[in-house]
Amino acid sequence: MSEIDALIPHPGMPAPEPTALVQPPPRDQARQTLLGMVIQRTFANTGAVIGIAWLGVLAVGAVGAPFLASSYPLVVKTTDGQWFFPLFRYLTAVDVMLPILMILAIALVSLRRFSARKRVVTFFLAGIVVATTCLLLIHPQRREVFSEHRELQAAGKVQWSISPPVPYSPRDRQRDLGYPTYLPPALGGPHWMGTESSGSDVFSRMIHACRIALSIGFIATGIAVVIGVIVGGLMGYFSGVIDLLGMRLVEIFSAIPTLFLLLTLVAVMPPEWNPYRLYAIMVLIGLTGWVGYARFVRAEFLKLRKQDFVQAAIACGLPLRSVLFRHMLPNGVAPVLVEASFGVASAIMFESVLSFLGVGLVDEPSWGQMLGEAIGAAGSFKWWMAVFPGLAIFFTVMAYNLIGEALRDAIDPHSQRSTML
Amino acid sequence: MLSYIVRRLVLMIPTLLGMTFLVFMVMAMSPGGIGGSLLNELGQLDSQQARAQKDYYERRYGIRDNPLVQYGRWLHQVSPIGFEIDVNLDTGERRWNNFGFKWPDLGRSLAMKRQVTEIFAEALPVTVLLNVLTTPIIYALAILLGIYAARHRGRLFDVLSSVSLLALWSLPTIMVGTLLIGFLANRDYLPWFPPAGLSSLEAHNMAFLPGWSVDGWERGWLLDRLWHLTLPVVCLLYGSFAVLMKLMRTSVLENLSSDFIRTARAKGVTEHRVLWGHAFRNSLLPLITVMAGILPSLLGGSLIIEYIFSIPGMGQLMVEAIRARDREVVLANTLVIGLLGLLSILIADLLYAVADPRVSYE
Amino acid sequence: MPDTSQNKPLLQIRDLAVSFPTGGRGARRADQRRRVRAVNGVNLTIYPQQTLAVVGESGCGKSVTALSTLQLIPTPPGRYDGGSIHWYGQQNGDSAGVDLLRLPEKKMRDIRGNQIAMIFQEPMTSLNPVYTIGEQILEAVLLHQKVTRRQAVQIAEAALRDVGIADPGNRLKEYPHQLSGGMRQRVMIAMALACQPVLLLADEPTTALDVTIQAQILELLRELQTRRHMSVLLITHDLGVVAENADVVAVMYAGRVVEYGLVHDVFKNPLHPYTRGLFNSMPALGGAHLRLLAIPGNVPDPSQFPTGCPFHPRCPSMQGDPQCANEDPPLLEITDKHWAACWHVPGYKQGKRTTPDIAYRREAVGAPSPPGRGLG
Repeated sequence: MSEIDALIPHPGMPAPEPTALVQPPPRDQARQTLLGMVIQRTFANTGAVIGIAWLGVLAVGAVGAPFLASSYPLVVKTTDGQWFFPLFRYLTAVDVMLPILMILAIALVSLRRFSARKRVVTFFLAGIVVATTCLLLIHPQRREVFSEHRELQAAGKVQWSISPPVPYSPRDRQRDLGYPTYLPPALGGPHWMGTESSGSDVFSRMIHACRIALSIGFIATGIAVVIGVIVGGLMGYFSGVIDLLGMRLVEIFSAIPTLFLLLTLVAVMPPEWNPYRLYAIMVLIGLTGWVGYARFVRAEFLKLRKQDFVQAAIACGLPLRSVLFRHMLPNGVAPVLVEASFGVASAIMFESVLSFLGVGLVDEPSWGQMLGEAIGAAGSFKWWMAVFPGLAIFFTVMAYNLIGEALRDAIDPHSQRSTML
Repeated sequence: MLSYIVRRLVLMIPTLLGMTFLVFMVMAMSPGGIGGSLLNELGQLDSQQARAQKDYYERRYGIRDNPLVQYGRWLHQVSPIGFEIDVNLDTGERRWNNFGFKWPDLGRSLAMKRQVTEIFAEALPVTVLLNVLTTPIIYALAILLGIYAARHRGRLFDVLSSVSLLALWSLPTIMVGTLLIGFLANRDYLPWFPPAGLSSLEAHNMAFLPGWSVDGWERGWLLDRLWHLTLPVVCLLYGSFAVLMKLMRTSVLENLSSDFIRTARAKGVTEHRVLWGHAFRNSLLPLITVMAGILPSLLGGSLIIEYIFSIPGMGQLMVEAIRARDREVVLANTLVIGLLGLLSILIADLLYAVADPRVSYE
Repeated sequence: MPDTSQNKPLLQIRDLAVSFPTGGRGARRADQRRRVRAVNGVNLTIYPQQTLAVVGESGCGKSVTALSTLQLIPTPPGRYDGGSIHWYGQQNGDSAGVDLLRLPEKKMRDIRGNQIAMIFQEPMTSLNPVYTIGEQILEAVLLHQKVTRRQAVQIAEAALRDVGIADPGNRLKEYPHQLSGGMRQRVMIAMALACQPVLLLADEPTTALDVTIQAQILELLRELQTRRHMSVLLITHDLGVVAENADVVAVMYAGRVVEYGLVHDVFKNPLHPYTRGLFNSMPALGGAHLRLLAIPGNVPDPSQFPTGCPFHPRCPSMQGDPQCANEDPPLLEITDKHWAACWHVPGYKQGKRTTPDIAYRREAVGAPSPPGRGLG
């Protein structure tokens, strides 16, 4: 012992100045929020950028569908000098609302002077105003008369007209007019992607289906995330009996293949709901898809609950609402974002499968429904009905998966483990 | 271990109850009640005979009763313990006697006019065959290629595979199935594979193994069955394969850089043994964990595939039953598929305990 | 008793340089990335039955040096850029020695675990969780010794008994997770020593353990070292451990040796300002300081080693000397058997350019002394 003590020297060096050499981190880096960092890292990922670009294309298709593909001309001037704007007579409230909101969103994103919070709030407020105005003011003509313009043209009364790039509406079934059905695609011809069983233009249906695919993905996943976070959070926070019961519920939903459950639910949907079938399917996909998020949030909350800052919040006597939503949720939510982006992909996949099996959307154009018609009754195979919609589903699902992967890497660069299931 | 298995099996009962209750209530809420469209059709015919038939069904299944009562009745019907019930078909009266063990009765299909047990006896083996054939292929391929990619990390194969795995996983089954059947099983393109079914018409006349007969070479029953199964199995396996191979690759990489591998190398163990003796077993653990998720997703996938390739399995049965709102078939299907799903989760958990000594269920 | 062979070195590390690529996201291919030297020109010499302690903060290249000795650096991404590691402990009496860096993999495997064994910092993760400890020890024994399985089991049991584990027969059947951290480190030591190695590389063997367990493990190592006439390369950042165990000390900073000497010399008269800083940052029994002194700043990131003396941004002796910032001081022998690398060490200009090499062994190796007291 004495040996060691003797060995420890005290050379009596002057205490060095500690601060002189320690460089403070650059300001920008220190001020960057976690969210900002995640977004920046995500955008550095090539795959994610490709995915976002594809979703951008889809968004343009979804928002501009009625202007991009419609049987109605935008402007018609008849030989007797009259002007018509047939397209605008059929625009629904949603058709008008979406472009306005999109322009607003682009404008807000490019306005860098405002804080992110301010921009989001502005967008939502403006959105509500635009939506109510549109819904109140716009009452489109219900009955679609596709032949109107064609008859006018046949009669030689049209001096000139401007038609949308794809001059066919998705539901313009020309079979009744003796038009050839199942026309193979012809670049430069009237139908670039061919026609389907009832003579409707496949390309037009593809464009209009974008809106359904995108909205189903978002809304269904949104519902699933909300349910999952609430159920999972409660299970993880309270544990005990609630956890046990919740886990049974989770088990019920995870043991039946989601597709089985979804099929049952969709099939027994009352026919009265058919006008709202799209929304009902969104809700159902959401209702059957929450289990993954619940499991995830539960595990996360079980972990968080034991951590000191949560214990401190409880010890401070904060109300449960505050502990759960202000202190725990923000810490467990980042991985849920990753899961959600995979969830959007699977929601789109589920919708297309339902429509493929013929129990999904009835009259709406959907990629899955077109794919389902690719193989005819007699075994004839219309490849364009399989390839184009199939690729659209594939690219969209792939885009969300790419973004999900990039998000995961951005949130936790060390975790390589895949949670693709 | 045994007590754990028993406990898990007992815990399955509430889950199965919940599952069937959920489906039952959903069907009960739908217009036309349980038994759905079939009764509606009969009602629309409105002939004397149809009305009699409808009355019969209503009495037979008690469709006008409270849904809870009906669910209880159905439960009693499928439970292996219960009463023997005599139903007076004229008055709808029921007499309960002889409490004890009985055969669970899955009911009778309204649309197909056959016993559900009988239908399942034909359909279940088909689906099980499809899945039992596919699962080992998925795991074998995923494990081998995953290890290969991990060992050649950063080389061409690894880079290409990591890009294409995500693509493979994103490929919709409905598209792959349609394209395969459209291009490879079609007279207009390449008629290499049969477009539908599990065997050719003349298959039951064939010998089991391929060989020469009087008419020349004959492919035999087995080969014929495999020939029919090729496209469906390919369709069923690629998605799960992508998930598992990616998982295997990361798992192997993670383990190869772990401390205990360094210890093994410091002992002088050969690289071969480091990989197969030390990293391999540890890398399998996450694959066993996801097995619980893979099996239900395979069952769901086989639904689509059976539909596309016209394979008379549980999936196709389910689609047909749902379209006809054939309540007995849908409920029994839920029960059986749910049971399969829960059993596969249990098997995955048990396998995990076997593979990982840190987990024990004592 | 020391014989003549003991004054021949067992292991000579000469000008070892190991580099790794920096994890640049943009650069795809390994050779396009910038490489950094984790170890740069390290010289060490170990004699039979000697304990050489390598001291330094984390990231200074201690572990890389030890791992290089067994060629355990994964290549790629790592790369041996130069130098040699000569090994004279070949059992077949080959006195010429072999260069471990250039030994083919197959021959290297005969040395690993057999002549040179290694134990690691993390006993919790260093054992394979899915095999019993018996299987893991047997693997080492069966690899290197021509014995039957039954004999191997006996060897393994003896090895466990040697490290003070009671009831070795049953312990062999247990899995790592069933043992405590200290027990696992004992198992690691038993596994390493089962084949009677000549040199043991101990990479911070006690860092992850409780203080009381640390003392036990160190004492065990000391005892086994004396009993088996083994050399130990002890890597640590704990100066208390060094004081008790080492014969010779090498202080490393930023991938190079900055001071080298007898344990007494280094502790009594530390030459390099970094070594002095290390001593100052140790709590001393009855010391006058109320607060611990810390060396300002952090160990530089290997990808951003400064030019000149790597320690100069943190060095209190520098005082604006441009030489420190521009010229990297070589390791020179300042006084007899005491090397240092600093322009400001008194007598540095007269220092001799010699390779660090000390054949000293402490008299009272293994003498029990209450460890840790006053050292925190």
